[in-house]
This record gives sequence, structure tokens and C-alpha cells, in this order.
Amino acid sequence: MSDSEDENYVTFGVPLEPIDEDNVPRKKPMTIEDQYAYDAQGRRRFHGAFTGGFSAGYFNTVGTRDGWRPQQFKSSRSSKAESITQRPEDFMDEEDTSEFGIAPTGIRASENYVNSGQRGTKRERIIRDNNNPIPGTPVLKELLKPVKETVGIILLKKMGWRPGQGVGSRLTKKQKAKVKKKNERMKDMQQGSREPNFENSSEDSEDDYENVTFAPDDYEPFRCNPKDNYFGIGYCGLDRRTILSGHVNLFETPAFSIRDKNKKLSIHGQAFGVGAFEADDEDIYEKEDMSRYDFSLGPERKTKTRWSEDSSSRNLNNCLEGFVLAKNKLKLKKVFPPPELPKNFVPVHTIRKSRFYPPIENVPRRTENGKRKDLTAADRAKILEDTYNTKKPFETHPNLVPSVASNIISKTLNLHGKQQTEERQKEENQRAKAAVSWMEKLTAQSFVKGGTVGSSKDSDGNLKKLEEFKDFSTTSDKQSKLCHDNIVKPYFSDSGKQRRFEQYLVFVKEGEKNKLESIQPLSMTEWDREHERIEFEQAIKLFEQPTNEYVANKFTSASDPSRSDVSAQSSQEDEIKQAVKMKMFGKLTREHVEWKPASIVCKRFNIPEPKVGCAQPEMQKKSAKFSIFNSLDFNNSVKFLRASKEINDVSTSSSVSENTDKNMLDNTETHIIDNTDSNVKEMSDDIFSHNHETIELVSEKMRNFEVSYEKVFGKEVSETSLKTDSNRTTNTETMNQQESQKNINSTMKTSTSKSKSEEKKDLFKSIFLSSSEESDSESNESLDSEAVKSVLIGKVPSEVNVNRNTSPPRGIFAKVDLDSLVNNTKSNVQLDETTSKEKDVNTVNSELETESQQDNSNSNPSETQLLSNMYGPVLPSRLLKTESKTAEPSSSQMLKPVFKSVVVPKPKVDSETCGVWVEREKVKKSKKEKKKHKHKEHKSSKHKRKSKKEKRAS
Amino acid sequence: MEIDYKLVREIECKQAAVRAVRFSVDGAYCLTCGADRKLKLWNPYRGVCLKVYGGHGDEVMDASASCDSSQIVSCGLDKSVILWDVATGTPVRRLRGHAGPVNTVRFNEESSMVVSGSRDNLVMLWDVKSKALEPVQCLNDAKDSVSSVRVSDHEILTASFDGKIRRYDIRVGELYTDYMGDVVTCASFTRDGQCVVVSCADGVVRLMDKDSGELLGEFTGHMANDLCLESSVDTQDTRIISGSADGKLWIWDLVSQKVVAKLSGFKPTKHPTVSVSVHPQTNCFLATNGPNVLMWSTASGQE
Repeated sequence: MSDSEDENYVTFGVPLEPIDEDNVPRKKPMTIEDQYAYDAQGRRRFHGAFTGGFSAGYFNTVGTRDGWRPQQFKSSRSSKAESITQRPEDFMDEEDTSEFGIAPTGIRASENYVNSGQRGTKRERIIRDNNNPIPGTPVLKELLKPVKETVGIILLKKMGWRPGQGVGSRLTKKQKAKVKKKNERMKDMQQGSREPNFENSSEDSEDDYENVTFAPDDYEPFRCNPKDNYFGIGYCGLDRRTILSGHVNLFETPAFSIRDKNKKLSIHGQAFGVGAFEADDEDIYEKEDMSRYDFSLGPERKTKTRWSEDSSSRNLNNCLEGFVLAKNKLKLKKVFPPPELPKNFVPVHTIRKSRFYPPIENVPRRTENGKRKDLTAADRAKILEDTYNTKKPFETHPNLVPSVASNIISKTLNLHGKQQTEERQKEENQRAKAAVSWMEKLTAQSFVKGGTVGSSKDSDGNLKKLEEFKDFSTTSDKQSKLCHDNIVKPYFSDSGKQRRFEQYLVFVKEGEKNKLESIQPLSMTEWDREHERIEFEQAIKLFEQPTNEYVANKFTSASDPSRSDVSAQSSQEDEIKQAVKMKMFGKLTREHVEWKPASIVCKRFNIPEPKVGCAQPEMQKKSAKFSIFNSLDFNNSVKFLRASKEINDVSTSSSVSENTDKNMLDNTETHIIDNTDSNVKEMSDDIFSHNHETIELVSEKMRNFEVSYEKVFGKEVSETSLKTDSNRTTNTETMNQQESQKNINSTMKTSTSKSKSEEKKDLFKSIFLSSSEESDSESNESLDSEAVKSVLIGKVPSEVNVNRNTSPPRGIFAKVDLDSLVNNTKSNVQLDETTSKEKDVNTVNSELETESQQDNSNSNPSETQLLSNMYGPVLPSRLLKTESKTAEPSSSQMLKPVFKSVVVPKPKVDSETCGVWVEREKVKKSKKEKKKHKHKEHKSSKHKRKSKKEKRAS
Repeated sequence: MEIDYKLVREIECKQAAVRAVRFSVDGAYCLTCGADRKLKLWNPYRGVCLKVYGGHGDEVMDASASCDSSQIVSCGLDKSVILWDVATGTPVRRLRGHAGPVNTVRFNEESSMVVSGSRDNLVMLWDVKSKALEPVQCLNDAKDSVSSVRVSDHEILTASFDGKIRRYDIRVGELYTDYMGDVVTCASFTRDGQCVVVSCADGVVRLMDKDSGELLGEFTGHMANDLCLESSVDTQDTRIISGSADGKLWIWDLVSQKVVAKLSGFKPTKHPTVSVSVHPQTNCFLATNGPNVLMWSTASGQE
């Protein structure tokens, strides 16, 4: 642009700053759903289901929460109801009366105000107002002239407009006619063709007035016809009237005229509409008239009236108003059918991750009998391209060192001295980790031990710490193992926490939960520690243990050390299966374990609780957590308490029965004895007194204990092996003895709770015959006391029974059996109580006895001989009593089963006189034995047959 | 000593498949457990249904009547054990301890305890004298579904699909486990309490000595077809009775191990005979066959 051009323009105002296009704040256009219509009060005007609805509720119309309330009418004799006149305003809102409402209120000229200029001197009002204090016309009225016409009208008038004329420029006649036509057509469209078309009256005017212009016609407002009937909109019902009556409208729809009673009737309007329950017509807006209905049966008459035919022909065109039928038809589109699939077509869908990739290698879907075989996890992974098997190898962090920063902080803060020591521990621990082999670790630890002993005086505490170090070393090994096992990782995101959790798992396994504190970083507060501990406990509950005992019972963990001899078990099972195949049912296929019925069960079955004073049968199930080699390390050094505990564990393990372990077993047993020394006061006193005695005595004692112990635990240690071991054991024993003495002295001071397992204690107490225990057991059933006695001698009653007869003591037999046994060893028992030394001898004797018995039983394994022995003596009187008591109900077996619980049921026995032993025996043999014999014969014959078969086969 | 068993009655129970039929303790009535979740009390001699007990959520599998016939205990696939009042027909207690369908249930002889065996491998002991809804003891030795439970005065005999029968001797406090080589579908005491009749899925009914666990006899010939067949002995301990897949009731002589009779109904059926119950005093057998219950009895009193 040139400057000259600039000068040509005149600019007004201040020019806007040029828009910086980069920084234009781009406003997002408001979406429709964000736009709301608000009323004057800022309330949402429209709401409802589709936001377009006008809800007439509290917010919009009525103004109360309850909505519109109908008016009450109440009238009584005393208080007559006033006549209420309702005004439209009562039903209106404020908005309605506002400026733009339905009925706007404002100052307007009313009828009272009369333009004085127009009406002249008519002043009725003013006359009426004479009562006012100031007579005469009000001054205000004189001053203010009411305005009747609006400003617009006044303006129009001034411009030359007259009422009755239209607004607009003046038109010639032709133009005016054209406009008029147009208007009329529009009116026709709006009102239908009901209104008669009035022809323009001034049609015949000439062209003389071409120059004359006229004002345009006033626009006739569209006037609605008020609805005064109850028909649907657009429907007019039948109107029956005589033809001549009323106004004949030529342009209305043709009427149907009928002759009725010599009168011509014309029927107007529509007869039928579309009812609510009828199906829609094709076109409900179609205008129908009577002419389209048939009123007679038979062949249709073509023409009724001139009109009707005309209309029908018009309707035939089937053309909407305003449309014209086309002259030439459109060409029909040709529809091509889809191609037919070949018969052998098989639809195959190849899966693609995206269309840019080649289709995923088709996983063969094996189908079997039409059913789709399930995909394996690997297949699915292939489809999903999941990398499930490419798990990240778990990084092992055996060192439990907190972050450097936290270390520094804790060091600087130096909250507790204890923490410092822990710090040191950890460092040492780290060093221990660095050592590769087990031996190196050991040396490192011993080195540490010396160091700490030198630095601090509290030796006990040091020992404890060392203990912990060892734990660390062992547990870390375990931990690494566990890591390979890929245990649960609930805190995967927090690696430190996860590490602690794993460590905690190890601790829990060892039963040292409180060690968690030692591995938690020092930066943690007390509350945090506690919180984390609780968290871990819950996590363990969630992950580690199966949620309920059903599941727990179903599965055995593979890492369970007690199940390590899987192969042995499987071989045993194979043996059993073989036995079943050979039909060798009996001892091979049978196994029996102790089982303890709940006391309530016994009560309900009316049976005394078995094995009240004895050890719990659960003992067998307990499994050792350490191998024997673990415990070996602790034997010589360190801590009495701990070692003894582990040995306890070891001793409970039933798996240890090998001869190779025997030496170690002896060791452990001696320790147990030491342990019991500390536990049981009397015995410890004894040992203290015997402490000055010779080694031989001690060794003898030990052997004695060993024998008794092995008896209790059912370990058959031959005497010879013991003898060979005895020399060695005595040596170690004496050493251990002295050491343990020292330990006891040291631990007595601290004297924490040392009692380990209660069952153990009970067992040993029963062995050592503490008087209180025995009195307890004697208060119980005689059988139980017998059982206890048998334990004292060194035999579990079940074991005794095993030696003779695998069958359980059947009622009476049990008692007889034990009686005889007690008779044999009664003197022994009595002696047993007096001195311990004599007891040794006795137990050895008794053992010899049992061995001889075993020999006997081995030599003739048949039960009959034993039975014959047992049936010999006549029963004690009390037993006979119970026998006679029960004999009667047994005859009527079904009626009173209550008493049957005392004796084995013998329904076939008719024993009214059954009080004598011999008869009973006879009866016993009559049925069962006979049967048995029969079967045995049969079986043997079978075996014979089998052997024959085998021979034949061979 | 030929005994002819004659078919006394054939009752159509109208409760879909009858899963089990049980005599009451006195033998006057019988219970049928239906697949339509109903338990019915019958007078089998007249063939009259006395009462219907509805309340199980699924098929009723087994039932047992108390010794005074005032209560019934039933169990079903809905994992619950229900104790019923006979007269009113209302459930007195609903015991929901099992985690799986309950296969079998028994009262003890005094009817103070209920022993139930379930597919969740557990045998639960319920004290029905108390109001406790928890089992007083769980016997969790079985490694597979428990198929049958029998209670004598001091023993609990359980059979399991793990091929073992377990005898819990309450008096001695020991558990005797006998391995049978195949799935055990039913194990029951003989009347004298000295032997155990064991039905195995390999189509053999075995008579075992209770005390030694030795095999006393084998009874074969019937068809097992993987059905959970029940077996029993007759009242005199002279016959072994077992159901069969061919819809007949097989009866063997206990000593000779020969088939004595194969009892069938009036008309041939396609349904197997699964459940068997023997009258406590007389030689009267009840057996289920599909929707029907058949009853046989001996005309001549033997021995």
C-alpha cells in the first residue's frame, strides 16, 4: 500500500492491536450439552430425562416442594365459606406476569383513562369522585392525559397510515391483486379448504387506474377456530341433516345423500376414525368421507354421485398435494445377488494382531467329536503373545542392609546403643555372607565370637548374638533356596519390604517371629515396625497357609522334610498293591494309627475316653524341622536351651531309625536327660547327688534311660548295639554332663521359662513316676491306670498288644490281658518305685521278658494259643456283673442299643444264663469261630488251588 | 435249604430317581431319598406314603431314622445335613459344615450323634443333642470322597473312594485302615459285628474280617459299572446282598459264595439297583430301582 492511499482514509477510534496468531487463546466451543437455559433466578429452566423437557415442578411453576395443591373448600354454619373467585393469576408464576411472560403486568392505559380530547366532556368518573376531600376533577387527571394508542400507532398515523390499512409501500392494483391471491393461498394452506374462497370483487376493474396506487391490504391475522367438541383434532363427526336445511357448501367434501323416509338426507363428515385399539391405517391423515364406504352388499355400483366418482378418480392418482406425477417412469435399479459359496468352502479366521503384521501362526485347534479341545496355557499365551514364561529371574539379596542414607541417619541420630550393636551384627553378617563355604563361615563366626567376647563383658548376651548370627547364616541359605522356589511376592514393588517379608517367612518357619525387628531397617519408627509385622502376619495367612483346613489336609508341601522318603513310601504302597492283587488282605493291607475321639463323642457313645493319661497321639504326626546334622553343630558349643529344643524336635521325628544314626541318637538322648534334669526338679536333685559318683554308674543310668526311652518311642534298639556304643557314649555323656551342669548354673539365674513341650514333660513325668500324676490316673478307669503302669514298665499298651495280637482288646479281653501282664510284673513295678537303680535292672529284665515273649509269638503266630490261655481264668466278679447286665438286652438287640456299648454285640447269642465264663466261650466259638474256620479252610483251599495253578502255569 | 424270595410290592415313589431307601430302626417304615429334593416316609407294607419332607436344596442322597423314630437325618447334594422332626415334617436343624455334597449320613445307636460323610473327604460327627451347628469332630483321614458311613455301638466305619475302609474304634482309640485295592462304594458291618461287607468298584463284594483285616470271601458276578452300589447282609448273616447295574438284587450265600438268587421286579427295567436296605429283624429287603422301590421277603422263616 502506498502512503497516498493511506492518506485518503480517515480513521476513527483506536485501532485494535494486531492479533498475535500464535497466542490466540483457542476457546473450545461450548458443546451443546454444556449449554443450559436458566431463568431469571439462575435456576435451570429445563430438566428432566432428556434435558429438553419442561418440568412443571418445584423449580418452575408452583414454588413448593409438594407441588400444586388443590384448593380446599370448607363451609359450616358458623363460618360460611366465602365465595372464591379464581383469577388466572392464581395459577401463574412470577415469570408469567413479568415483562416477557404470558400476562405481562405494567403500567398501561386502562379503560378508565379516557382521552379527554376524544371523548370531550363525558366525565362520569369524575362526578363519582366527588366524595374526595378536594372536590372537582383531580388535578393529576387534568395534568396527565392517558395515552390510548401506542407509540408505534401514533408514529404510523403521523406517517399517513390509517387504521384498516396494511403497512407497506403503496401498490398498484395489479400488484395488490397478486399479493392478495398469495395471501389467500397461504390461508388456504393453513386452514384447509374449509373457508370459502371469495372471489375478488374488483376483478372486473379496468386498467384505467394503472397509475393509481393503493395502500396494501391489512394483513389478516390467522385466526384459530375454537374447538368446541370432544372429537379428536381434525375430525368432524357425522352430521345428519336434511339436504335443504342449513347452508349448502359447494366446496366442502361431498356429502353422502340417502333417502330415508321419503326425506333426502345428506350425511356429512367422517364416520369412523382410528380407534385406540385398532391397527393404524395406511395413512391416518388421509381425508375420508362417507362416499368411500359401501353401504350395500353385492356388486359395487360404479357411480353414486358425480362428486364421489370425481374424488375417487382423484384419489387414484395417489399423489400428495403439491406434487405432480412424473410422466416417464424411473428405471428400476437392478439388484445383483451375492455370489454363491462353493460347497466345500470352510470359513477360516486368521488372527492378526494388527493388519500390518502377518497373521499369528495358526494354533492348531484340535477338535474331538465336534468338541473343541481346550487350549493349553502355552497356546493361549502364543495367541496373546504373552511372555508368561519369560519371568524375570529373581534377584537374590541375601544381605539385609538398609539403604546407605538410612544407615547414615540412624548412625548420626544414634538412637539406641542396641541399634548400634545390631548394626555391627549386620556388618558381621555381611562378612559371613562373603565367605563361600560352610567351613569358612564357621571360622568367620568363631572369629567374630572371639572379638565380641573381648569387647564386651556380658558373655551371655554375646552368646545370644552369636546365636542370631548363626541363624542369619543358615536362614540366608534357606532364603536363597526359597527364592529359587519363587515364593509369594506380595510386596514386589518394594524390594526391601519383599526381602524382609521373605526373611520373615523363614523366621516363621523356625518359630522365631520376634526376629523380624532385627532385620527391619533402623530408619523405621516403632509404629512402622509394628505395623509391618502385622502386615506380614496377615500376608502369611493369606499366601502361605491354605485358607482352610480342608485344603490343608488335601495337600502336602513338597518341601516337607518328613516326606523326604517318598521313594520308600511309594515302594511300600506298591507292596500293598501287590498284596491286594494276591488277595493277601490282612497285615499287609492294614495299618493302624492312634486316633483320639473327641471327649463329647465318647460321651455320646457311652464309652470311657481311651488313653486319658497317655501321651497325645498327635506326637506321631509332628515332624522334625532340622536334620540331625544341624543339631550336631550346636551340641558342643553355644546354648543349652536351643540345642535341647532342637533335639526334642529330632527325637519326635519317627523317621530316624537307622543304625547309622544311632550314635547321634545316643548323644541326643543324653541331652534330653539333661534337659529333663533342668525341668524336673526331683530328678535334677538326684543327678546332682549322683554327680560325684563314678562314670560307670552314670553310664549305666544313661543306658537305663535310653532303654526306657526307646521303649516309649517304640524303637527297637538291640542290646548288643547299645553295649558297643556304651563306651563311646559314656565319654561324651560325661563331657556333656559337665557342660550342661555349667549351663544349668548359668541359665538358672536367668531362669526363663524352659519347659518346652508339655507332652514331653508329661511323658517323662509318667516315666519317672511322679506321685501326683499317678494319683490322677488312678482316679480314672482301671484300664487307664494299667496303661500307665505299662508305660512305667516301658511299654505302650498298644505295643504290648502288638506283640500278641493285632486285634484291639475286645471288652473283656483287654482287661484280662493287662491283668495278667500286671501280675507278671507287679513286683517289678513295686521295686521300680523304690529306687532308680533297681528300676534299671527291672526294666532290663522286663525287656528281656518281652523279647522272650516276642520269640514265643514269633514261633507260634497263631492267635488261638494265646486265646486259649486267656480264656482260662474265671473272670472277676465285677466283670461278671456287667456281663450279666448286658446279656439280657443283647437278646433283644434292637430295642435297647444303649447298653450295647459296653460289650461287643452278639446278636445271635441267646444268653439268659450267661454268667459263667465257660459257657460264654462256647457261645463265642459257636458262630464266629465256626465261620472263621470255614473261611480259613476255604481260603487255604483256595491257596492250594492257586498254588496248583501256578504249578500248572510254570 | 432253598429259600424263595418273593416280590411283595413295587412302589412307585414319584420323586424322580430314588437315591436311597432305608428301613427305620424298628423296620415298620422306610425312607426314600429322591432326586427331586424330597424325602418321603413310607409304610412299605401297604405302599402308602405317610409324609413328604421338603427342604433340601438339591438331591437327597441318604437318610437315617433315629431309634425312637422321632427324628430323621438326611443329607444331600446341597452340602447340608438336615435333622427333621418326623411328626411335623419341619427341619429341626440344618448342619452346613461340609464343603461338598454329603453322600451318606447315619445316626449312632442312641441317636445322639450324627455321622456324615461327604465328597469333601471329611467325615463329620455332629452332636444333635446340643444346639451347636459345628461338628464336634472331623475325621479327615480319607483322601477321597467318603462313600459310606456305618456306626456301631463303639465304631465308625467309613468307606472312601481312595480305596480304603477306615474303622475308628472309639473304645480303643485307634484307627484301622484297610486298603481294598479299588474304590470302595459301600462298607457295612455284618449283624454280629465281626465282619465287614465291602463293595468295591471292581465288581467284587468282599467279606473282610474286622479284627485282622483278612479276606474271608469274595462275591462276584454282578455288574458294578462304576455305580455306587450298596451291599448288606441279611438278618441271619447267611446271605450277602448287593445291588447291581442290571437292575436285579443279587444274593449270595455267605459260606459257599455262590449266587443264591437274582431278584427282579415285575417288569424288566433299564435302571440299576443301587440302594439296598434290609429289615432289622426279618428277611425283608428293600431296593431301589430307578423311580421305584421294590420289596422282597422270604415266605419261610429260615433257621
